Amino acid sequence: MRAIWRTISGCLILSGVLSACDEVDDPSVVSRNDLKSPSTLQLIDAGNGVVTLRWQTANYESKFEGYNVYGAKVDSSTLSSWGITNGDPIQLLDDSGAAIEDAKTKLGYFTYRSDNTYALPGSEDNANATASTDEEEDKFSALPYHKLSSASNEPNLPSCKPLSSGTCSGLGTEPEATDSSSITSIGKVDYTLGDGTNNQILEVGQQYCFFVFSVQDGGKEISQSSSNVSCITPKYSLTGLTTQIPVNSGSTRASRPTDLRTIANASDGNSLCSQDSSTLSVTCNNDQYTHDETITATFGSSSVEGVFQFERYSSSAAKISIVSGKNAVIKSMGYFASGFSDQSFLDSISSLTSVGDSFSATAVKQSGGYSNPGQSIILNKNHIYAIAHAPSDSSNPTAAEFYYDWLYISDLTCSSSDACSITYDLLVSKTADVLSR
Amino acid sequence: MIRSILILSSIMMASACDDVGDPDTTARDELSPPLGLTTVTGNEQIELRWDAQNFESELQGYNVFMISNKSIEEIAADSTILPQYPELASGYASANVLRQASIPRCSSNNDFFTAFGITQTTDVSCTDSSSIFLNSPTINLQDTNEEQAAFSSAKQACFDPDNESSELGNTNLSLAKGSGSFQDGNGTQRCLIKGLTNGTNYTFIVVAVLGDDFDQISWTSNLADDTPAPSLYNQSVTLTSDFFRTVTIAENNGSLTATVSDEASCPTGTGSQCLITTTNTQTSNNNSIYISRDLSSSYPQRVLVSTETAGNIQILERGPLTYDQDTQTNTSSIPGDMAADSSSAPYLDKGFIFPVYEQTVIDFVYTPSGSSSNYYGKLVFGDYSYANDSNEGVLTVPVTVIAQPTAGNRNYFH
Repeated sequence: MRAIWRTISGCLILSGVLSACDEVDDPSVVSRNDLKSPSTLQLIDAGNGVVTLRWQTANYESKFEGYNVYGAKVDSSTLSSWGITNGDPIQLLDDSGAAIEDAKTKLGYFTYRSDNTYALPGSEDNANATASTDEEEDKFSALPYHKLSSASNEPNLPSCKPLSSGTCSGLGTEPEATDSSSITSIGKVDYTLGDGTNNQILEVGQQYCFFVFSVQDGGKEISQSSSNVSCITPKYSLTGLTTQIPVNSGSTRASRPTDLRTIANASDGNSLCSQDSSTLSVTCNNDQYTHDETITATFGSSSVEGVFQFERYSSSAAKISIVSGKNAVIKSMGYFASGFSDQSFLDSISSLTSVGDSFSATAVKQSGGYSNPGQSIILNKNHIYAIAHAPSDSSNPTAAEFYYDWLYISDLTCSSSDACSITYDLLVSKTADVLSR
Repeated sequence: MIRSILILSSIMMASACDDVGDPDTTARDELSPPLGLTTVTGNEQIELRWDAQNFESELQGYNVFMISNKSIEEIAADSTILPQYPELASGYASANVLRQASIPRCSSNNDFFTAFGITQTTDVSCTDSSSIFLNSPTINLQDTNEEQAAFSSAKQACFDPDNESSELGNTNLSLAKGSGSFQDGNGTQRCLIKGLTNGTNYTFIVVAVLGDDFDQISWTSNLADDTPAPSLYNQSVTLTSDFFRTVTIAENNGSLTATVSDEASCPTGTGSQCLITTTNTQTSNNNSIYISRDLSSSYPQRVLVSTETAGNIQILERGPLTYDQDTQTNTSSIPGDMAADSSSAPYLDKGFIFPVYEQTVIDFVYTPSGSSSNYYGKLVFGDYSYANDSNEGVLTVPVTVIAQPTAGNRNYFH
């Protein structure tokens, strides 16, 4: 029987065959000729469990209406065991239009449902969804992120609609009635998790992986492939930290901030940052993050008091350096006017190079272009620095022991005769060996 | 009604549809324009890259059009050639707008396309309610032989960036759809434009082409501009422990040169360019960037970079902007890299001495004595290699210097 593609719904079925496509409840997969998939998904860590998804769009289709966002808390080895590759899209159809058999299984891992152990935070809020009591065949095999409609107690989908330029607006608990003929999207759009408007905060230190599908026709049709899968491990964030280093001729002055290790390490109860296990809200006690600005002792490769220290040399009083301590190295990532959210930073720096398993404080050069412990890196305004550090009590730290944190100097004023003032932000990893931005 | 439930049973049924006949679809609605057009600066050439999502069975490839001697800033300032449709509240007299705009070929935009060399105008209305334009990103390219000839004449030839002698297009196309990963209409597409003049501004647009008769094109990509520039220096440099070299920039009648000196022994004490705790107060090379080995006993392997406090060059560290994510290689020019504007970016005070590690880019701005003209460039360090893996061993490092011969031009970037 000659198959005819029904152009109205895009259903990939044989006409005349009883099919799910005749039932409005059942979405169909639309070939990429008829519905463009999202692409180049990037994840931006704003810190403290707030993450922005940003993807490229090219959707003019008359029935196009938005995007479905899928996410799961999943480590890399589990993701791999699912047959999913970080960086690759999930394909529902192959190039000939035939179904890819294990796509359903893959999507099922990301179902936003209360009984899914990998689900994004807040899925338990949907436990009373009407459909979850449906005795028919499980129709929530792969439900994207959503809120429940307060009127119907059913999923309010798609996950978001590009109602304004640059933003995919998450649907709340009320239906969004914009006609699909009025919705187009070209260029990059943002969708933020954990910012209080859309979704729950993510858990700091845990890896999450996401992908996005295009959606049309009242959710009945989705694109044949997702965006690339992209993963992130949210970090703690401290912003607007300040310190001053006075000038003192004939000596080296320093400012030693609270050790980075104290920010993330909650095991001994001394962590400056903590995340509520129920609400996932994050508290970082900036008031406890102090700077000792009176020290003049030499800080270097054997120093255990902190991961790094700011230093000022009397012989070149107009500049400030950052110096790493024991088992710590620093890499200057360069100038980015907007700091961690700068688009050029997002485009040019997707991950760091590992310090490697052959770390030695006295190596001729460190793997990945890092400094050696104890070496000075001149600080500059609007520059980002990566700081890699292993526990100070580790004698020969392996690659897996290193934490990778990020420092952004948002303001720096210094003259040769006055105190130098630094304002900076930190993204601090709770988990070791996370190289992604 | 339960909405948006992904039941893949419909996919399972689709497996019975392997015998696919002629699709009763209208391809016109789904010809996406190229997105994210960006450039890689080269010597008398520019590589273009754009993102594509063109799976249409009748996709033929892409056409590239170019304006010479006109940057996007200059286009934005020229009201006679600005696009008129789609109408924007703020108009198109802004470089930032043009760098993101996608423009259709219709009668209101004839002057814009004429500026890119397409001399045959169209009478297809942009605003007529019956125009297919309003609902479709695809329009008829050429109803006449004259139009076809005009497009063929105006298009630029694309060459393979990895094999510069290999042309990727034909009579009708700049880049013909092919099987190569950068030619297949999916993901990053690459096109090398050769035969350009260093120091000259070029602005580009790209369109997708559909149909066996090449008779349909997409709206344009965003505009992207660049200025070809030569590598003034591109060699491996050796640097003995406790020694330094200078990279001297000179301007002469509109061209720049970069000369790397022989190595010389580091001066000691305050003001030495070989000590990180001081500032470079040397006075012999005011048009130079110093590359020095650390004179201190603590880290003799460390490489320091500086300029003289009273010199004519300022520098700014740009970090590891050497990794090309598309080709997964380290290179001295990557898509989108560009010198930072010295009027807003915090170039270091002259005399500052800072360490540089491998795979690092340093921007510089050179203002010749007695001049107010700023010449932008960059200094790129490759991988470091120390003889005998020794801190005191001779360092060998590839060094590349690229600079724009036109003052004020910061391009190696979009």
